[in-house]
Amino acid sequence: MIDVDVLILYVSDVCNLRCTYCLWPKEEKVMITKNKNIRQKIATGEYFKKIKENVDTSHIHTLDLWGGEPTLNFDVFIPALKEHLSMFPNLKRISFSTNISKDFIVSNIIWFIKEFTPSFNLDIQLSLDGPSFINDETRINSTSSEIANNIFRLNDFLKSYEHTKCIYVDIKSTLNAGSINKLSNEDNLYKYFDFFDKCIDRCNISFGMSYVFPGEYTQENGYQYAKIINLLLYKWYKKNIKFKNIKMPYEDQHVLHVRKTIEAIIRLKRRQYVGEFIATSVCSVGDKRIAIDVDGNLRICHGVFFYYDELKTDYSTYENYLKHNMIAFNKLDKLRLMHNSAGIHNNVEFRGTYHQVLATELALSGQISKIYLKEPALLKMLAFVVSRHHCISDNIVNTGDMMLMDTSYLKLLGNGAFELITKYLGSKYDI
Amino acid sequence: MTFNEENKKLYIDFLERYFFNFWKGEQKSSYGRPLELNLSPYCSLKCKYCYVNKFREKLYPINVKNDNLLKNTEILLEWLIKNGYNVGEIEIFSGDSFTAAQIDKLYALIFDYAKMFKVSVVVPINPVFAADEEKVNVYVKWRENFSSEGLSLHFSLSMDGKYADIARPFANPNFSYDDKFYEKVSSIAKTFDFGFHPMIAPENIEVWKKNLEWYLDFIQKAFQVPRKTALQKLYLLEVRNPNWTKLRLLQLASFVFFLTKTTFSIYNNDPRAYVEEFIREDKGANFYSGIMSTVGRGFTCSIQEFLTVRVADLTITPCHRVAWPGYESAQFKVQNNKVIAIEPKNPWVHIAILTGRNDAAPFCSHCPINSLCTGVCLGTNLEYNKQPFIPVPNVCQMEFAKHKAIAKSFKILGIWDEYERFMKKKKYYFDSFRKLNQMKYLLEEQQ
Repeated sequence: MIDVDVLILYVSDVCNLRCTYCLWPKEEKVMITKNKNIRQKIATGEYFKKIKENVDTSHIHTLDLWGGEPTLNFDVFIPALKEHLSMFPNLKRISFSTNISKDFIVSNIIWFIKEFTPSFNLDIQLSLDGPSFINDETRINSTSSEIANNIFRLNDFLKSYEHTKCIYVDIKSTLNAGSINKLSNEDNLYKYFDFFDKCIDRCNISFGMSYVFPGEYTQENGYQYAKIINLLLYKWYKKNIKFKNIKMPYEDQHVLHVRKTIEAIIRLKRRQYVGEFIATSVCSVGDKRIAIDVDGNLRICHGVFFYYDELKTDYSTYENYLKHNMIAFNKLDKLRLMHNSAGIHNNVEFRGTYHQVLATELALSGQISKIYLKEPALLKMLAFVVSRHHCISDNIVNTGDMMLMDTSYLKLLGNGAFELITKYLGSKYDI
Repeated sequence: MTFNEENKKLYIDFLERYFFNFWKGEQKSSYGRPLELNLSPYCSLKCKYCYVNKFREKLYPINVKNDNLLKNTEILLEWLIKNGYNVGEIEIFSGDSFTAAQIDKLYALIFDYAKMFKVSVVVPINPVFAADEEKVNVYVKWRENFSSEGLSLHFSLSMDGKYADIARPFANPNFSYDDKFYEKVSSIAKTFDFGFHPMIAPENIEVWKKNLEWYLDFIQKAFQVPRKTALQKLYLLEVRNPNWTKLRLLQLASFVFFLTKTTFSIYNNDPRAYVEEFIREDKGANFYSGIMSTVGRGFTCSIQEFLTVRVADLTITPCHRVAWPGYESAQFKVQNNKVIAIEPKNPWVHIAILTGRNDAAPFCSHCPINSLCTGVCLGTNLEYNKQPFIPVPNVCQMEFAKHKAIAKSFKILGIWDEYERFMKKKKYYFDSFRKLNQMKYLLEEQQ
């Protein structure tokens, strides 16, 4: 029996959008068949029975709901969860991310909120990539204006709802290589922030930028990203360009992460919070968190829900063999899964060393700035920040190894952006 | 450039810096950058602990033909010659599937290249050829040819010994080991100046005490040398597979005590001679090397030195064991029997392996015996954890049991004080201090 704090549930295998950067396979037939199975196992309570058989639920304080688009199956999931809530005596929080692209999704979210508050805290992440020239190009089958209107509708409900204190909602914008290239144009970048500024003004929901990773970024994408950072940290700073509701420049994911890294290093220097420093990873695999599918198979994280059951027997390709590493179909698998996840999580050193080498090789090959050959401290810091971003399921797909990231992220940051960020933050922190 | 083009460039640049510049003589290294030719997956033996025996079809293309192996070897050597690459040393890593005529052809190809660049050749080989006069004659001929050019052709014999060979049955069930077989090996041992690298495995650990005695007698008799010299010809390797059970570990610990006692007596129970000559100079038959020697490589095996080429499909792999589909680093692109390019496949794992460090690996980084341990076998990890950098716990337990038994045997037999004194005066004091402290920890460890 595996004892975890956070349990990730596979609530849906279908999605109404076809985002260009989504790694979920979109074979209609497979999705529909698989989703039918998911709905049935949820509705009959089979899913919860499997959870009980495989996981010690007594310490679980958080349920993370994943898919597909989880809200599409809320019609069966909400009644089923209500019925089996007693399985989770210490449950405090439920979270999910939604594309909020349709009217009925808003209705489902509101239904969910009404059913589970104030008993539990809810974290709801709303995906909106930006104004139409960004969002409508990446989040196919949705429009920026439709999503924004749905967010406003949800907000109108929240304004009048009595238990809003236990609900945390935020908007997440995800940017890919194409979006970065567009935003490196100053006018576009202004329109992007202005769009979110106006959104927040109307709905008072916080906003954060993130980047698709690994994302297959090239050196050219790195230059474009450096232009964005230059605008955010230097040009606009000098011109005093500000937005009413956006904390510039910390809404940029990397600026924020580097800032947190610097703060962690400063704390480490003061011999404080060593554990926090070591644990600083975007990925929480190994952190007493496990995913479980409707058939009771444990999976290392939500990123591997889409590796299907045929992996049980199909070892004809090594890709399947590797993916199998992240899924436990039997007792021995479980042991290995927990062993490996502990190994990944506890190891900053290996990833840090690897990324230092990779950054050095990239610099020698002329694919990131040569400054990393001259400034070992900067190189180490870049490697550490990149290491924090590793996603094990993406790593398996891209490098064949759960701990090794490809060059994409180093190229995004290492072609000017990281230097600008560290220079800016260095002056703020006097280092 | 596209993302994929950039990645290709990165890997080719990496190979240039890591191997080709050394081969062109533009860079020097404290240790070489040899080439390993990973030839045939088929073998006359069916060793119980052998990874090829278990995973052959994953590690090699199916239906590997000997003629293709010879053709590809020729293509590869021509590519080396065309580029003026001097690899310094070639290791021929192979199962045992060639006929005498094919062996002759293979060595003729390698000899031509070796002569041109003064390259030495090392061949780990099983002893089955000793029973085949034709093959023996071919090998003898090529040893003489190499020798006449002042080149080394060294054979390291993979034979576990009369008792331990129970783990190495013949592939053909009609054959079995008998005294006559070992007599044949003995009769050619001196001609070939064999080194011996037997394997201490879970499958044969229970017989290793009497096997050790047999092996020392065998070498002594074959070479007509004193026991101390016989010991110097032994290079003991422990199999790092996950089937080290509790019982096997107890047997290992008992054997280690026996090994220390036996080898100590060969050095007349003189602690100083034992520590300084056997452990330091002779690396303690390889078995004790971890307690004293510092290795200048990230991983303790030779994976970071070699460029391994799986000859069957001219594919570069991190090593002969980490060669699964998906983990292949690159492939030589051939047109009209000539290499025209190197096409990267998975450069990331190769870069990580060639530049990684054992003591930075997960679990190893904070392991209490990480400076003593032989280190993880990335191939074993890959096979059983499906991940090369995370160690298999049973192998860790084996290393723990082995080194703990060494520490205890030193204490009980009166070697410890000399070992401690020696470690304290060593040149690289920090490394020695770390090793000594970890040995002390093992002495005090109760489990």
